[in-house]
Amino acid sequence: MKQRYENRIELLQGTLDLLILQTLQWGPRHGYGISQAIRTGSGEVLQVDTGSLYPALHRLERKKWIKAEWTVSENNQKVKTYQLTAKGKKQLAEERSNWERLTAAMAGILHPSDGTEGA
Amino acid sequence: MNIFRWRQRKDEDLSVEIQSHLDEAIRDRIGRGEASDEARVNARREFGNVGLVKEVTREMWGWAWLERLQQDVQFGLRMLRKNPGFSLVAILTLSLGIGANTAIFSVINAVLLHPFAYPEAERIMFLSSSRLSEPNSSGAISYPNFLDWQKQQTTFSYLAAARNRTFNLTGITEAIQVKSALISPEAFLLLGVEPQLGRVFTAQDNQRDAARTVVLSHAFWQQQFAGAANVVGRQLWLDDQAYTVIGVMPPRFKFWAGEVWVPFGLFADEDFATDRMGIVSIFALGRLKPSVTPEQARAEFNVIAARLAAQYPETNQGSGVRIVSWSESFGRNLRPTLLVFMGAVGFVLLIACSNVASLLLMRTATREKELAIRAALGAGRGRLMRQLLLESLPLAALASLAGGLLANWGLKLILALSPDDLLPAEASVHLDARVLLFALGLTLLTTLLSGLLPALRFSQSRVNESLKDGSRFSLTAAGGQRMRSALVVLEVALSVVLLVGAGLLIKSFFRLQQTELGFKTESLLTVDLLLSHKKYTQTRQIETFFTQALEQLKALPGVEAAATMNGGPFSGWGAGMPLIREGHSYSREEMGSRGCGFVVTQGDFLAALGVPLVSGRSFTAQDTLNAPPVVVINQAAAEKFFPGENPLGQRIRLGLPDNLLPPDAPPTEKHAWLTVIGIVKNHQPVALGLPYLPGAFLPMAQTPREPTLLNAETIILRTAQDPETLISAVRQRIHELDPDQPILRIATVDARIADSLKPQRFNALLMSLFAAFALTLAVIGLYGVLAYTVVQRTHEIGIRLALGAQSGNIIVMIMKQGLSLTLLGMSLGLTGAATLTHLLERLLHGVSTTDAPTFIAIALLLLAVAALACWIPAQRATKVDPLVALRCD
Repeated sequence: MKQRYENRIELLQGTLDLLILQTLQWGPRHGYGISQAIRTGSGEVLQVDTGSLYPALHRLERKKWIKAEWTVSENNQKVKTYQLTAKGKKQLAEERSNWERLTAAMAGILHPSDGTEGA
Repeated sequence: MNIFRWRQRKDEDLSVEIQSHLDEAIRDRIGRGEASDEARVNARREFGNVGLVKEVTREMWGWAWLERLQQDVQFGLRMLRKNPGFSLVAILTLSLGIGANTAIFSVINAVLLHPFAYPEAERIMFLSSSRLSEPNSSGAISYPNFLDWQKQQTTFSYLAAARNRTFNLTGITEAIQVKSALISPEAFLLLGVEPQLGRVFTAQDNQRDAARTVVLSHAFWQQQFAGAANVVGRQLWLDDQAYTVIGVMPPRFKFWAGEVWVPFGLFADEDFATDRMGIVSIFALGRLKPSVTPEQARAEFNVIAARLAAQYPETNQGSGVRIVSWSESFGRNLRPTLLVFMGAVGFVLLIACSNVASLLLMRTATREKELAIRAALGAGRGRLMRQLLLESLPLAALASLAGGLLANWGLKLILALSPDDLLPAEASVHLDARVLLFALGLTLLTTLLSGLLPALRFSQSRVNESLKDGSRFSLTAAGGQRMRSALVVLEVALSVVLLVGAGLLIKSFFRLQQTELGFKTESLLTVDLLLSHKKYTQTRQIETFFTQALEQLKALPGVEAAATMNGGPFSGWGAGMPLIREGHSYSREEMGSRGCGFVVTQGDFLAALGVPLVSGRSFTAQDTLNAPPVVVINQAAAEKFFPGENPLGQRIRLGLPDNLLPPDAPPTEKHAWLTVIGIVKNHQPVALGLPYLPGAFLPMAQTPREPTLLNAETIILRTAQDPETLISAVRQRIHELDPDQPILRIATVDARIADSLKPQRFNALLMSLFAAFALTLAVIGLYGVLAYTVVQRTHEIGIRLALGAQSGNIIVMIMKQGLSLTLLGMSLGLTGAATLTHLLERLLHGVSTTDAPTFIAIALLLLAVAALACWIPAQRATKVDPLVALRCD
């Protein structure tokens, strides 16, 4: 039971990390910007809970995948923006290929007609 | 970097970040057409719980545990400030326990664990001779044997002999006596200490005919040469011979308690160094070679001893070698005392812990609701327990600080009270890193012990019960009370054990003081002199000096009688010799049981000492060198050696019988036959509390030889007035007779007795101090429990009073509770004491370890004090106003 619970958290967490890294690949964004980008990018399907977003940002920062900087927004407000580090870019590439392998494998199982079973 | 400032900045950043997130969201919503108020509310709702987001985010920083620690400690500090009375009692209690333990541990650390600051001191062994029949006996070795050991052994890298020796230092303003050690040059190599100035002895300095050299201790260098840098090469007059200073040792080098060191080899042809019997105190030290164990050394020396026994049967038959570690040989006499004290202070600490635990329990009980609410709001059980533990951290920190101060004072007090020769010279007793580490560990342990109990108690209690139950008589409170009662019982029991111990030591001390000495101690002055071995080589010279001295001193106003003795009151019986009777023959084995102390005396010794003559006569002016030799013996000797006979007129000899003397012994070895002319009452010359030993008095006028035996004499003066008033006059008279003659000591016999009792006084005092701590703490604990009971039972007492109970009934009810706890603790304590006091056996004199009067007295004392501690809360209970009591929930 506990094992399963942990797996789920890990998966979600990993997914969120991947989403954040992916969002940042086109340039620095602040926290709200990231949540909005994920939301609109997913066609309103994925709503990022702020209770997960900020801890995740601070965790990625600690892992040195992203770095934070205080800037002034277009509305002349002091905002904290995050951007990918070199390490983060490597991480993104790795996580993306992992994700693609995973989804391909999942698809293979979920859509057996495409596979070898037809023989 | 200040992590708290860092954290605060991070925290502010996070708030700004979240605020900007909200602002952006509101702006977006307004942009999409929402009204500004609506947008604000919606954005806020969408964001969720700001506090929670912050909380979880902070976790990511990894400082959460530190923050919580800070919070708990701060809370603890706030609790301390809020209850100053509680805090003061708890801190004082703990610091007493910690301070006493640290002080005693400092002494143990210095004396038993690390007495010597020499490198690898644990590999230094102490060698003495032992009788094969008693492997644990430890006696002097002889120099010839030592030299043979040195030649034959292979297990020690160095082997050194050492012997105490006093010299008269002259050529300075007033002659003084210098404590010195004769040592073989190997001693310095063995100890691994380099001189601070100059050099140490070499094998050349150790030759019989070598130039006389001396190495100075640091203290002596400071005193006599004011630390002059050019001291090497200067001369020192010791026993009227010039010695050249070749080196100065660093401060902590106090080997063999010497002020100066002289090569042993210079004295290699003196009697004490050529005699293989080994009756003079020479001992040896050896440093084990690397990888050699003490067992291997013992095995080798057993072989060597057996070889020497075969070679020199008349002196070495039946004697072996005892090898123990040097520090062990030092701590031997002190170990039982120190361990008893360590046990005692351990008890004090336990009592302190249970007292503080009891106080914390009481506080936890009053906070039960608060803790229950915390639990209900999601604080885990572990978190609560940790909180309770950490809250006692400030308490422990303050207590250990105060404990450190107390330990410092306590240590000074112990050193001031302790007898001079209690500690080995090299031991430096102070609070060092090891001691501080011990204190720190102790504090942590104490905190855990006293904090853990309430924490455990609470975590057991069911949170919901506390919340639901509105009354004061909750289940948990009753449970807490049970535990506090158990703690009080423990405290009482422990303090009873300490009180009994202290009682026994005090009783033993008074017993000793009252023992019959057999002579009048008051109005008796003693003057110790050691005549120069070089200047006074003939008995007649010594006799002349003392005859003149006695004449001079007797002429002083107030002096009633004067005499000299080599072994004055409380300096011992002098040498011992086998006493043999004319016309009897003896085997070698019998010699061991025929020992008889003897003292060579001059002047009116019976009047001066104040010992009555039982029968016969004392010495007269007619008992000269040419008259038949005479002897006066004491009652103990008469009873032991002449059972059922009249000794008067019988002839005895102090020494070996003819049949045991070697055939080539010079005629001077054959001691003269002495006629017993008088019997005197027994007196105790050694120390209080010992049995009377057989002893004999010989007139100096008839002692033809052995001036070395007579150089150390004590002049005793019986006075009509306070003997203290004569001291300066006596000093002056002796100085006039011989300006180069140092006076070792002038003291009244009362002062000497007080000195000889110092160890017992020290033991009794220290133990009483600890017992007093313990009793005070136990009584505070008892009082606390009862006072709290009264508060808890206010409601019930109010009802009883309202229903017509008399105040007498209430008092009985409360007192009964307190006294039953006391009685339970007392019976446990008395049982414990009866099994533990045997540890005191070696420290007691004339008192059995289960002395019934002491046990009864302690029980009564405790009951009286406990009754008082119960009376006050009981009295307060009767003052309860029934109306107020009933109104309060």
